Amino acid sequence: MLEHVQLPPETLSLIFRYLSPLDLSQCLRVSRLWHAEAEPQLYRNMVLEPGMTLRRQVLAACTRKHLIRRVEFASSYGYTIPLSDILDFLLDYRPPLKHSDDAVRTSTWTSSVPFPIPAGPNRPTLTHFSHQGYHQSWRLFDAILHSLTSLVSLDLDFLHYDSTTRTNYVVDLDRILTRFPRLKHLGIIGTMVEYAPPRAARHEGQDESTTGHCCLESFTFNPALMWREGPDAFSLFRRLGDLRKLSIISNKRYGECARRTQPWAFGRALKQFCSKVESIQVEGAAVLWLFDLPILPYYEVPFLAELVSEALPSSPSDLTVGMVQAQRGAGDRLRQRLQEQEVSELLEGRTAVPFFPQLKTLILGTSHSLSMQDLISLGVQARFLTHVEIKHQAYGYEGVWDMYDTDAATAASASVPESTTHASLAANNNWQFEDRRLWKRRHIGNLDVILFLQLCSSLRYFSITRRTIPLLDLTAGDLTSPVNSETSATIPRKAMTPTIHRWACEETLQTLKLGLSVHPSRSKEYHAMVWNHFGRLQNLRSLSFPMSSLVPSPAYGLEGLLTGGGRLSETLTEVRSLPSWWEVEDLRGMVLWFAKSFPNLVVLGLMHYREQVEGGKVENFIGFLDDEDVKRCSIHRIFVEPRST
Amino acid sequence: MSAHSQILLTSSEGTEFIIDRDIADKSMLLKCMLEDIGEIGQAVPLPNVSGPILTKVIEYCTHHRDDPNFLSANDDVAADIDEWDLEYCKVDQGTLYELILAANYLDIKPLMDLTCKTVANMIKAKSPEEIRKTFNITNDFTPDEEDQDWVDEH
Repeated sequence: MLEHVQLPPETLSLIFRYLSPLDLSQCLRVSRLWHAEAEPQLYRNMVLEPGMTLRRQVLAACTRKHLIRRVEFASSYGYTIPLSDILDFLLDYRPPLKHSDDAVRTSTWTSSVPFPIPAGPNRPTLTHFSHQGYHQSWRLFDAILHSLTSLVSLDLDFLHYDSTTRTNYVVDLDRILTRFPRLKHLGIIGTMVEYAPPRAARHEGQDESTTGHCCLESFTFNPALMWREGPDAFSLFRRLGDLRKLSIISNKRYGECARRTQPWAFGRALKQFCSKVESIQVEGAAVLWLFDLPILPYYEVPFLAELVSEALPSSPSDLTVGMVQAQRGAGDRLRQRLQEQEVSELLEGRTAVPFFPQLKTLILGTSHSLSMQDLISLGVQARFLTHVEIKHQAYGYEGVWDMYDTDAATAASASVPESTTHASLAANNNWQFEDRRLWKRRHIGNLDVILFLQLCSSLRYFSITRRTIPLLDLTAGDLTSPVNSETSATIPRKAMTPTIHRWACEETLQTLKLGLSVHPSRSKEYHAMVWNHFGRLQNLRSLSFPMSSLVPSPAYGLEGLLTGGGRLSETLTEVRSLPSWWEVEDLRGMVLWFAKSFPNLVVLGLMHYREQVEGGKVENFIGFLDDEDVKRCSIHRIFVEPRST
Repeated sequence: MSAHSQILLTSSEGTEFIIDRDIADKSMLLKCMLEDIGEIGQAVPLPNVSGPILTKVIEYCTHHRDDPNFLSANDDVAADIDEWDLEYCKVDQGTLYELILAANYLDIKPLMDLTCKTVANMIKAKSPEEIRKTFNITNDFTPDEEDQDWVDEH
């Protein structure tokens, strides 16, 4: 070619964003133009950890700090980036130190820093700041922080490994929201942080700094923020009308959260102020409710009289007395009927009021507080919900939250005609009143998960890990129709002919991660039934069945994936089953079948469980990976993790 | 499926292109323009984009028209490029650069990511001399200016 086309200069800065720092440093030496365009990219992002002394010294000496846009200061056990370095990088200010570097850890020099801090000429215009760690002088840190007014994203993690002798950082959220007008993302979490009480509680009147609207879209906090009490507890959220994403990262213990949180108050405040919330993420212990359920005085509970008489054939006319007797005589039955009736009402969708009607994404970690009532109501009412991810963990204690909405309960009981009876019964910890639905939230069970899948029609991503659903529950039939009181009291668990009822999300579901167990005594038809059901999912791209005893083998009806009515042969790209407890004789054949039937399959991950053969010799069951056909097949990544007892 | 309304675009040489509205919406520039001024009978002129390049851009947007992850493109630089996209980028350098400029002008982030990543891959793991060769760049540093820029961070 005689004519070489030159890379247009205006594209250089765009392209350099995709290069690693190593490559960028090479680009610096190519030509002057490249140097000028690459340099800002090189300094744009800075990540520092406490151990990088040499790097810090070099950076301190460099004159290019004004190019820094994003800074991330990490910490490791016990050590944080020293405040003097932070002052240097972020404000280009070097305090006149008389002592050596080690001495800066004491607080004597920090008090000599003038306020406001005189920033140097190389001071960067930061857009993103992320800091993790603990400092002796919160006053100085505060001053530094509040001078970074150009921030768009702020992440502070006040963690410290030894919290016994330290003082907390008290953060005034109102002040931060006012100080950083461009802030889109704010995250303040950690063991050593305390949220200052809301402004309105402390001052007489409201001033400008507490009422301005903020453009904050993402907010991350720890559950202590939800422990506020009083009428202005959540007035902060009044300013966050644009909030889209809510994240609760918790380091608190569950018991404390359960004792101190008022999830109904929090939910109602957010419903009123932040109507655009579409993504919720909870990690660690926090109590968050998604729906508001009304509290009824006991005599307004529908069909209570019928239920009592059902439990107790010779029930007296006085309902209160009847309930006491029913408890003694047939307590379990009455409780069960009340629960079923609650489910029926939730399925009708009239009683539950959503706190987050625009919810699209829900991600819950292991100590989540998702209740059965919330999950069913989500299935019935959530129109936009596309992503649900639950890391489930079975609790040691009874999965019931005893959260007593005192305000609503007081209002309800105030209208009870015989308030003395009510009060005395309640005072005796009478279970009818406690267990009566809408006061207690129950932990989700397997059937609730299946019911949710049968109801929610917009789901694209569904993942529930660390929980295995037995086939019995999957085939429990149609759970969406309200319980008929003529049929047996329980939701039919043992249907005469087990079938898998259709899921509402069959058209939209793209990713499914669900553990399934099939009892070994079940015949292969049961496995085939499950595969056929998965075959109905029209747009499935990724299928994972961890911790499962469902066998992915053509001998067990795997062809059902192709004949179920969906288009899996076009859409399926990933299949994973790790870890798992199934056994297949012919792994090679299975892999080749997958490769042939699903031309777009890219990943096949299997974990094979097999007992060690007698005599200590473990069979080579990954030998099939060396097979020529397997190596040449269209699946990019096949991995098998063999596991023996 | 309801009938899509159609948009008329004009390239820099005056060639006209008719595309469906949902394909045009892949470009944030066109999307905002059309939202603000509504349906217009006349063509939208694109003086910065030539005919052949516009054809390529439309080809990309048409292939990805049903892609649900299109607008939520993430900053994950290490993500793999899929097969079709790889083939799409097998063009001569001049076309590739023009595509970057067009994607930037029309504000189509995933196409920007794709084309920039492709060029970035051509720069990766090369010494300055090799880079100069690949892109035909003259070295305009004086010998003593070729100092070491020491700083590298991760």
